[in-house]
Amino acid sequence: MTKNNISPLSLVILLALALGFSACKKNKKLADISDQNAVKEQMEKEEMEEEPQVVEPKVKPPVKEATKEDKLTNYFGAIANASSTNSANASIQEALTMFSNSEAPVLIVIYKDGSNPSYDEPTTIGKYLNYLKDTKNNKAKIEEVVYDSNGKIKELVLRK
Amino acid sequence: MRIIQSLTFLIILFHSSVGQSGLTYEMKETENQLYASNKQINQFFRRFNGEEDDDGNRYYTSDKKYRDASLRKKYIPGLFDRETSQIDPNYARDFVRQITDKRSPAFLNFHEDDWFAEVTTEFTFKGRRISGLLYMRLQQQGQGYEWIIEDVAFDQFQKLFDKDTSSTKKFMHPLSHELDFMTLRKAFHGNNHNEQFTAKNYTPDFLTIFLYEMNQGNMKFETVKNVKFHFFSIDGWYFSLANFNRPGYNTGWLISSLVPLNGADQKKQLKDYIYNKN
Amino acid sequence: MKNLKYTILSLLLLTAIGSYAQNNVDPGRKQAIDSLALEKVKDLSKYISIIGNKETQFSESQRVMDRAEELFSPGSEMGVSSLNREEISYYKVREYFERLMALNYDKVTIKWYDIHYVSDLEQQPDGTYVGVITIYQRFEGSSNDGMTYKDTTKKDITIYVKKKETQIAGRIIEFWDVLLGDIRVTETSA
Repeated sequence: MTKNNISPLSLVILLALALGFSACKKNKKLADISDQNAVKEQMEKEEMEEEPQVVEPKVKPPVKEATKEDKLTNYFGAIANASSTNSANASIQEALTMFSNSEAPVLIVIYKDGSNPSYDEPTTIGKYLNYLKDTKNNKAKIEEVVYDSNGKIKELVLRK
Repeated sequence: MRIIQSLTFLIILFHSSVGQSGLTYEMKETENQLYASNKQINQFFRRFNGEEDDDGNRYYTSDKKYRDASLRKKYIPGLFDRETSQIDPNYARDFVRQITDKRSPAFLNFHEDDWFAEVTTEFTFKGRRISGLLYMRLQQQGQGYEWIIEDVAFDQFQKLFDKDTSSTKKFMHPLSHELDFMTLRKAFHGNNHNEQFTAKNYTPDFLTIFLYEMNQGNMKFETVKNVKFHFFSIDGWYFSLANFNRPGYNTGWLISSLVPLNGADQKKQLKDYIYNKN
Repeated sequence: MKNLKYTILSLLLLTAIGSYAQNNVDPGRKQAIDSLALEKVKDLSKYISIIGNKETQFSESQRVMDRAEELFSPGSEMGVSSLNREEISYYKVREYFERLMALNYDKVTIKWYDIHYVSDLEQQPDGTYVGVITIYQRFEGSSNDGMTYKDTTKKDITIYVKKKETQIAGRIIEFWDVLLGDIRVTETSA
């Protein structure tokens, strides 16, 4: 390949990379905004839950939690794709504020056959976030989130 | 439009090759060789049986191409060592024809077949490092399987047994019983070949000696030097499997010898030879 | 004739069901467990790359070594040989990591070939499943004086898979415990 052949390609790559980075930034901002919305929604949700349980409590309206889960998903991405250990650690600290504590259990479903899921060995959110940092393996998606009375996550179920 | 598409494709390609593995071209070449290699005995079994696709993905019993005849015909020639073993091409052709026969194809069965390992080992015995062979085999046990030691061959044990069967050999005379066997005293005196006083059909059991010396603490395991496998699982044939660690596309666990067997006698002879029982 | 056909068919079906029942694991789940095991091996490979990298801070290496060690069943060993040193040296896993971290190069790059082999999972006498996953590592070490060393090693990694139970927030969770065991490391001529 001659130099002339490389440069347009690398330009495009550079462009693509630049776009990628700005997209990351945008996500981060979105995440910040969605946090406030999420907290508000969480408060609404708690009010709902305090009402007498006419509706079956396990059936949660999916729209209500979407933003908070999005925020967590964004943190997972930010940690797994962090450019440095320091920025990954910073994202871990931020993500941990969403949880009751760093020991909150994380279950990972590896296979589901009807109502009988197979899990990986249960871990904790602190360990899981570091796992994302070290291995950059961000395959698992959020399946279920259980909140405590303060609106913090006390249990997380992921699905691979 | 097409240019943009191909550029996008190039970018994706660039990202996936550099982003994920970061392999150099030299490494790509090596990778192709490693792909071709029979990396485990397990893979030798799968390729022999046609239980793996072109990309090395496993076929399960429910897959349409599981044990497919044309797949096997493609794989099996690659299972022979083509560089050093000098396998008779006529034998190889007959062998492949037999195992891929449309009406009665032959497959390897990990649990049930007549196959075993010959493991070259080193031990320390009475302060000296010695080499010996362990013959190992799979055995059903409990909820699954285990490898067990079926037999051993150590020069140090074998050379102690050299039974004289001639008419001039030492003996205890036939009226010893009248003397309360006081002939034993002279028989054992200064003798290190006491096997002369055993029955005609006596054969020493080296596995027991090995276990005795191990359990007594006289013998200590050091290391494994080499492993090979002997297969008597295909009717009328013997083949051995050895590991070839070398550059190129004919590497890993490969058939290193192939011998046609005519009848049970030849099979027994060859087994005795492998087990060092001649 | 038809009856015979059906009898044979149902007999075949019965044996098929019987063999699954014996193993207690359906094929889909088995595949998921295979993937889980491979993922643990890939996690290990990433940990090894971090530990070997000279730019990794000491505290990070220590933490990563702890995490890597957690992947193994206790007492696991690495048996290492090379092309010019056939003799196998045995190291405890932690010891192996520490030696890797202390290697006397100014720059170390550990890459992994995009090739792996996952054996069948076989049941051992106590019911635990055991398998071997093979992966290949590319090592490059260089010193500031321009000396470089490169090798490709094959790593045959034992994996143990066992169904276990634990209690999380008051309920029983059944999970597949995948642990790595002994590893045989051989240098390849490729």
